[in-house]
Amino acid sequence: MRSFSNRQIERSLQKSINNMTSTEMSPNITNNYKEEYKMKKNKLFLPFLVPAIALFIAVFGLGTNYYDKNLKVNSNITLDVNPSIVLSTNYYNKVIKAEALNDDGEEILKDINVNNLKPEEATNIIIDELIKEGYLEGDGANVLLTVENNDLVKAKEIESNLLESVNSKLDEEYIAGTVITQVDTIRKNIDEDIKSLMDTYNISYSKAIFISNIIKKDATLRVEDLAKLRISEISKLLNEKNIDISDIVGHNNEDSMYESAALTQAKKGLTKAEQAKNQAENKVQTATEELQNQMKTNQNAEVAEKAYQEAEQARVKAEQEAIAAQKAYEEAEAEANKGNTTQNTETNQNSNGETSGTSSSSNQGNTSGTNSTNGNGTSNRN
Amino acid sequence: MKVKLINISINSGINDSLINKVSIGNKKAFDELYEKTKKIVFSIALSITKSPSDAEDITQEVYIKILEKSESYKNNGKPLAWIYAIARNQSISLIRKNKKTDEVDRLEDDVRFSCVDKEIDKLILKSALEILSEEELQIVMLHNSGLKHKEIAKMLDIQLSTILSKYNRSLIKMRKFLEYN
Repeated sequence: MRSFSNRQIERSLQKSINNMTSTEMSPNITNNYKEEYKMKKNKLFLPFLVPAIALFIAVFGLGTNYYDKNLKVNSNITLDVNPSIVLSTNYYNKVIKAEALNDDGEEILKDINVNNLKPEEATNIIIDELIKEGYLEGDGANVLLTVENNDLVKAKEIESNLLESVNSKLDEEYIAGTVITQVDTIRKNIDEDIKSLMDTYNISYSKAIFISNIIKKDATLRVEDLAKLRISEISKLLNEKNIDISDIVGHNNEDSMYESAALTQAKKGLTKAEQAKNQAENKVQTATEELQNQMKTNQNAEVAEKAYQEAEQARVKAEQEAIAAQKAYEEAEAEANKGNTTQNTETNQNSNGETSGTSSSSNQGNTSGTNSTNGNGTSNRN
Repeated sequence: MKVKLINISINSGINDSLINKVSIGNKKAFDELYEKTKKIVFSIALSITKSPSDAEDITQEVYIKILEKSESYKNNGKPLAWIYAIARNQSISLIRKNKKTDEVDRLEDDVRFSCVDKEIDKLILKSALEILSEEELQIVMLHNSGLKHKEIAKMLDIQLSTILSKYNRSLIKMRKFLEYN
């Protein structure tokens, strides 16, 4: 009679699984796949050819309804970080085209396919790529989202969904930053100045609009300088120069895109502390599992218990640090809010003399006082 | 303003984006997916078929299916559950096919487990396949193929506490079996 410990059984099974899963399998699969899939596609093609032709004729015969609902661009969603990407969606709010507006954008789109996805799904995938390529990290994870649709109610709805989805995506990835949104109708005739800005500096329509509005706020700023900067860098510059653009992009009363360095620092500290806390909690869970196992086998229970206690101590420490970080963050935020209240009072009128549409609800667009931008919103992520 | 506490997300390194890349024929993404999931897929197949050679064939089939179906994958943040469904369906369909054609090979144990080096490892694996139920076997094999209990719970849509107790019970069962055989 021979006795085994849980650990021995686990090690043995792990070894067996390793032995049984051949590392040579992958290339065979792809080679087989290429041949088999091509054959299947060819086989599938003929039976579908006749119905496809019939369908084409039917569609053609029935007029343009199919085209209007499926293939015609209903909305344009521009995502500017520095890589600039435009997603065109159809009547059903599915992406029918993704286009890069610069080389960085092209690099991002190279490896992904977002066609037929909802804009929220598509932007999440793009954000995954942006994170992977290092465009969304550190202090300045600012994203400019512009939704263009001739139906402004629909545009607002898309904007609101996107804002929520991008925010929660950045939350998941522990990225702190600002999501700026603008809403507009699909342009038929672009203003000559904007067009020249787009052509001269090879920037997107939304970034051109954003920059041209900023220039109106401060005559010392130069278009050529701003055009070269990323959205996050522009945001930082505005912050340094204390320029309020709430009437351009709008911002809610709770949040402001002007964060003090202390707030940014506190936010980073909080994110780190939360990560450490979660890691410590995971360690405790692993140690608990190990302890349960060892107690059942009466083997190495002492060692496991010690490990558990150490993990628990680390968790308590991490939790305390997270509480301290949260407190620091709240203090820094209160300080920043004080500054913003003063700033908002000073600039409560836009350049056209209209009352700025500062909204009290977060993530909703405001009526802008500019000619080209019909609505907008900003969300600060914490 | 209240600061939201962020929940840590389970991260096995497999995300929607990876499947998305596979769907457009990105070979590197496919290799990455394969390397990260081959043990998981094999374990699922083995738990259902209880045959290493069938599990190996099914693993190949599963990756062909993944390549074919990746275009229709819905980005719901549950790629492992999607892969699990494919592996399970492929395994069940092979069992059905074998039943229909009566092609079940009753190979000698030496041949069945030829890929496992040591006798003791063969004995332990055989005992797992023999005495554990499909679900128990799945939990044990998946955990030992590298998945955390939490990830298994999410993938199989079962409570974490259930996974933990079933896992511990399965190991006790195996230990007792090995002691008396």
